Amino acid sequence: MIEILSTVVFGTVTVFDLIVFSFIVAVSMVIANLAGMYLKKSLTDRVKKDELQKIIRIVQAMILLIGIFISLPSFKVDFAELLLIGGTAGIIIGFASQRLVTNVGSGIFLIFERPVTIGDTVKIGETAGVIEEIRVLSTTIKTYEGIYIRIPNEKVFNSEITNYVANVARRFEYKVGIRYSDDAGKAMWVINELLDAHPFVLKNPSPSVYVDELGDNAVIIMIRIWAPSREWWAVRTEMLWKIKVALENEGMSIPFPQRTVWVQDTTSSEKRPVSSAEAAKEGTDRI
Amino acid sequence: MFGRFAYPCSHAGKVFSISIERDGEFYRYRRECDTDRVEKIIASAEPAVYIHPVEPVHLPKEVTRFLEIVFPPIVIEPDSHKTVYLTFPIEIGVFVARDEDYQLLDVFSRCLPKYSLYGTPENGVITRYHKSPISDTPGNPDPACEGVLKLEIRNMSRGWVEVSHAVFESYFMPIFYDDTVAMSGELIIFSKVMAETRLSTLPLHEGMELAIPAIKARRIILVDVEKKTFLMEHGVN
Repeated sequence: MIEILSTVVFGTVTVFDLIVFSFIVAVSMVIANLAGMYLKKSLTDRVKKDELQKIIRIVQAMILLIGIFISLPSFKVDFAELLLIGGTAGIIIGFASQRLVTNVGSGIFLIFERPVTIGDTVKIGETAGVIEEIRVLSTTIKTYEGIYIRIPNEKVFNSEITNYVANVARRFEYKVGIRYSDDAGKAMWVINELLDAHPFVLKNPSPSVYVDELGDNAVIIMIRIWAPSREWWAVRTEMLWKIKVALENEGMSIPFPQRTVWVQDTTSSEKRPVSSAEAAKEGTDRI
Repeated sequence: MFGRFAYPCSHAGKVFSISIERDGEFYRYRRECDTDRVEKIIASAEPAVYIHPVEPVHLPKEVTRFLEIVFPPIVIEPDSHKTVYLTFPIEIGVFVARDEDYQLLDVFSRCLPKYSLYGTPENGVITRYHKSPISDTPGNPDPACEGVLKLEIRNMSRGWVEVSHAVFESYFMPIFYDDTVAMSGELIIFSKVMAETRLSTLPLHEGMELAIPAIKARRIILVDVEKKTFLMEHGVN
């Protein structure tokens, strides 16, 4: 047994040294995991999720590094040699794994530049969703359909990034059409009252409601609303229906497209529009 | 209206009604305020709840920690100070507690909440918006809806300044209560575009009790010096 332990594996490193090294590294991994769990439990309600993950990773990495440094003497390692070997190996590995290194570099730049953070609603290239995790090599996104997508950091770094929540507030708009016979002034008053009553329709910048267009079939009212970025979608989905209902309660309705057809009466020189009743009588249709 | 209440108990006032009744091994908490109703089950050995005014940033959902009070413009001469009385919105918090460990059970209010943006979308902050009258006396606002804010405005700049906005940080917002609800604070103006606000730990008058800060229930214990003040970098008007 002792003979096996003292068997040289390479250089002066014996099986016993390897066991000691593996044991210390394994213990430090266990301690790192325990520390991570403890930090998660105790800091979850005090620190933001993305900050917490960073803290946990840093603490775990430090524990692991300490473990490796403690276990290195069992290899009888000369640190000067280690640096030299490490440096040379780094260059070789760097050349051999350029894509990997590019991803790591991009990841570091992403972490420092922070164009996105965990929990942000973003569009990276063609992928839209919520940032779940930013790692050194890749960024994971949960799409609106709940699908997990991992994007290499190199791609994230080189893609066009749209961050929908980078600014604290954002604007959205509706176009609502009312009949020409409806009172546009009253419609705008009704809409303004509705917007005023909603907590997340921001007071400043104030919403703007105005007649934007005299359309073919309707008077088009433009409604522009600012809302907190984290709430804009909820406000957007809620307000459109409320506006519709409020306008209908005031006797206004959203008109259907209409087309007036002029029929040439060959026995008369005058052109006239044909009403539905007349059209039915004359065997034609008003569309 | 505010204070510590042992349960089982019930309170039916003009503003809200609360009842905590025994239900087997538990207690059933019921609250009504206007059309809003909440029912929860409490499993606690300490048979008491605390009903206190809390920082007005929780309803309908917490989206900010800043309170912005907008008041009629007041023009202040250079190197001078003036004390004014404003109002601020009130939210009512119901806490359960065990050994100084507070848990916010419920928050409600009769005030219609409204939010705004102080500054720009890029650099500004979302604020809970409140429009207040301005007065040189505390006035008598409805304690179920509004509190009194004694604000000392100090113009440290070299020119006249017109002020109509004050933004406060809710992480350090000592609210006091007795029959009324009150806070004291100051607005120090450095220039037309730069000012600082801070709230005081002193009550409006003697005998007022300090309300439990909701932040205590959220266990955010470390409120650093920076968060005790708010730097208004986007103007005071």
